[in-house]
Amino acid sequence: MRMEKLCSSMSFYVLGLLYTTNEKIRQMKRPSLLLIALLIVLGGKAQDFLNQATVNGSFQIDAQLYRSDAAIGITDSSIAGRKIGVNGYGNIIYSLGNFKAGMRYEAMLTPMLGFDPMQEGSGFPYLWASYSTDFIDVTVGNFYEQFGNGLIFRSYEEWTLGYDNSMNGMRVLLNPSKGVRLKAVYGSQRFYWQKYERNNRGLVRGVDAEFSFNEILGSLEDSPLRIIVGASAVSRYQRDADPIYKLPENVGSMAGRINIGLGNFTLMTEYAHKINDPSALNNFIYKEGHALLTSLSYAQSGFGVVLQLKRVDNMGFKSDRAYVGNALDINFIPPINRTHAYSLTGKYPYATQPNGEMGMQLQIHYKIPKGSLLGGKYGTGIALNLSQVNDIARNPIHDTILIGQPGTMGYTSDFFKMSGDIFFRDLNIEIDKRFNSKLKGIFQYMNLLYDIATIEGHAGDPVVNAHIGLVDLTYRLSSRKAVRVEAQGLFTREDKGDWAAMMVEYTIAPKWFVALSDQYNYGHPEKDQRNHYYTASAGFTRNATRLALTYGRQAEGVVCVGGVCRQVPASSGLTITLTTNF
Amino acid sequence: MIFVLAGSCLLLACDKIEPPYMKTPQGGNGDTEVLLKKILLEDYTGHTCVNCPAAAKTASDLQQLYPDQLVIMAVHSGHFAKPQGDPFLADYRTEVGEAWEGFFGTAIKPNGVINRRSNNGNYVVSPGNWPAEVTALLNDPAEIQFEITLEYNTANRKLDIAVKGEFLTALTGEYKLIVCILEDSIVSPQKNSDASAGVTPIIHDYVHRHMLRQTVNGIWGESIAVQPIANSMFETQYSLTLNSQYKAQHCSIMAFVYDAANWEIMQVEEVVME
Repeated sequence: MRMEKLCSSMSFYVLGLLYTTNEKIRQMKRPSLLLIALLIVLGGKAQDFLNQATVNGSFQIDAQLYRSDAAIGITDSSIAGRKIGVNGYGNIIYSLGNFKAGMRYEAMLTPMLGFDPMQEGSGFPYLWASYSTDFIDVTVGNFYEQFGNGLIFRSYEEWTLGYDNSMNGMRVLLNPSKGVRLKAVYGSQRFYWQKYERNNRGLVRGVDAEFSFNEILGSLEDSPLRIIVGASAVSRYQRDADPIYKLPENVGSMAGRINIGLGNFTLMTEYAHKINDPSALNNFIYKEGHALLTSLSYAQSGFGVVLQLKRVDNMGFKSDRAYVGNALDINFIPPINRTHAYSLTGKYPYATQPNGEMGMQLQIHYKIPKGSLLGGKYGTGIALNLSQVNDIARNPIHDTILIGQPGTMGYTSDFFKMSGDIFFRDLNIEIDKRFNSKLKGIFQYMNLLYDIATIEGHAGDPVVNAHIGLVDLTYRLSSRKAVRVEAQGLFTREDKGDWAAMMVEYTIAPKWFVALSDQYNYGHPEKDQRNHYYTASAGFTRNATRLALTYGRQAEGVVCVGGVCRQVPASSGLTITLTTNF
Repeated sequence: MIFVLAGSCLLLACDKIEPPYMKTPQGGNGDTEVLLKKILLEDYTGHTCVNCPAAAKTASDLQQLYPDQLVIMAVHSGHFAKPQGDPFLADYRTEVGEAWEGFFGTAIKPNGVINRRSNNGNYVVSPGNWPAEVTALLNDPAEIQFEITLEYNTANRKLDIAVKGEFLTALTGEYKLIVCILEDSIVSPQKNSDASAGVTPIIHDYVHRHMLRQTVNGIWGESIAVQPIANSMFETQYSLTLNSQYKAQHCSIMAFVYDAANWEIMQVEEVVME
């Protein structure tokens, strides 16, 4: 979108971004003398500012209208009088040559059910400006960044979770020579709408360096052997105001990583270490933290294998040591299990356990060639996935000290030894088959073990063992029209028992879709809880704008993205989602 | 080179703590001549909240450190306090607790509210922050002082409560008083995930402490003064019959005065019934 199309007030605001800090912008209720002066000083340049710039952005509004629904336990009191929840944002980025500036406005008034009540509010939580050349990239204000796999630093935003740990400070990226990338960051992290004030949470400082040897050594540029080495260090400062424990005010962490590629093989590994960081998350123990993430993969046409291993020990790292909720994470422990997209295969998602876990994942993809007996006319895709996560083995540091006792070293743990307690296991196989030019299908079986007591905090509840199967068929009626049918079954004796789900979707590409679905908890141990969770949906897309409406019930559950999860309470009513971008 | 130096500085800027990890208790500030404000820690909790026993222990540890200044009230409210399957059949929720939870936003548990102080509209303080937040308020001088006197007839369970106090300085705005009945040492099952706070996953004989049972003058109390001048007095009295479900020997009357404009608690007192 060219800048000429924007109103003058818009350009005026962008100018404000250029020359004022975040706080000044918050206070900028009306044009200031400073900005007027700047406009005058810019003089002839102002025309370039308007004519040669580009602006892009996106908007989204999610709204839910709730109604009481006694059958699934939703009463006026559980809605707490808030019959409408609205989460919305607008994201705008202005670019002019090497300069960029952006802002995101958010309004959670009131937040939808399942989002933290602390998200209630509106304003500009994300404001930034940057200047970049081939050599340097400097950002002031808010930014997202990641070192390596994120084991010691990752700031990111995930709208569906209501998660945002953006930094508010400065970031410098340097490319001093070919193949060398350096990063340095410092600042505070976003904590809902609570502004950073001295000592109300910690500060984060970090550096990262990455060297691509194939680029540095020009002679290796075409070599089949590719090597990238990286190292990073992050430190958190938070004042010790605790009357009980002696707390480290500066907590340092470091990580090293190497990626090696040779032909079709790729090996990636990263190891991270963190010094003593007693926190509410680890129950104020003084043990050091460790994390190891390794991935070995092989890929060729029609065939791929990935083996991932992970060990995490006491690696929760937040910029407020006292906070345990889904905010203020300095680091990110990547999950190594499949993310399921269907409603029943995704009913029991795994949430990463930063206090300790050992996991593995094996993924195999194979495309049975066209024309073979099993491949048929179009070929057949097979994907096998196995992941398992156990607790780490912990030993007491002394006969008289409990494992994890606050104010102690907590425990000892053999790096190569894992506990017999399985948090999560997912064995699934998926077959992707096109039968003819009109009909294609996906068939999946999943065998699940899910420690609901650990992952969802349902202490005392037995481990969920489930078998899940699904069929997803799409039949193309014409070049624009298609019908898709999903049928799923989840079979377990634990938790809420058996489920069946059905969905029928009719699509008129590229604009319309309508869908009917039902999840039926027919095996709930309590007969009066054997509810249907039916929905009717419709959506319309025009250019980059999409409007979707869903009416019906939503079952209680957990939504996870990247191993970070939030509880979603049961709800009933109308959901409206509007998105657009330009 | 600059980045190597920066990384080295970050690594050197690490505080390795050597044992012992516990600080020497400093106690409160009871020996000062200045009358200090007491602190109310509201622990929003529930019997199926697995992390709540650890939070209650944090509160208890703090009260041992500051017995003369810290008052604790456990508010059982919300989803985690609902009666659920056996053995969690008890219902310790109160109308007032539910209303406060909705207002202060404490649905996620465990969480607390300390003197109902707001930080940019946020009243919630996570348990990990309770020690620091309480400690930060220890030296705040009192602007109000009051005392609670009780008369209790064990035969007919008639309870007379008198609250009499004084504004030590002139204040602007309106001030309200809330009087609560708390019951201590209620033995009832509690979920738990922290071995250092008790057996897991269920402590069947868990001792629930400082439990809010009811208020005697409504959800938001009643006004006791508007624009009070220095040394002005206030006095209120209440008569009621103690609920037969409460064990009188474990009950206490807790009252607090707050600023009606921002809900911040100005002073709190607690008197054990017997």
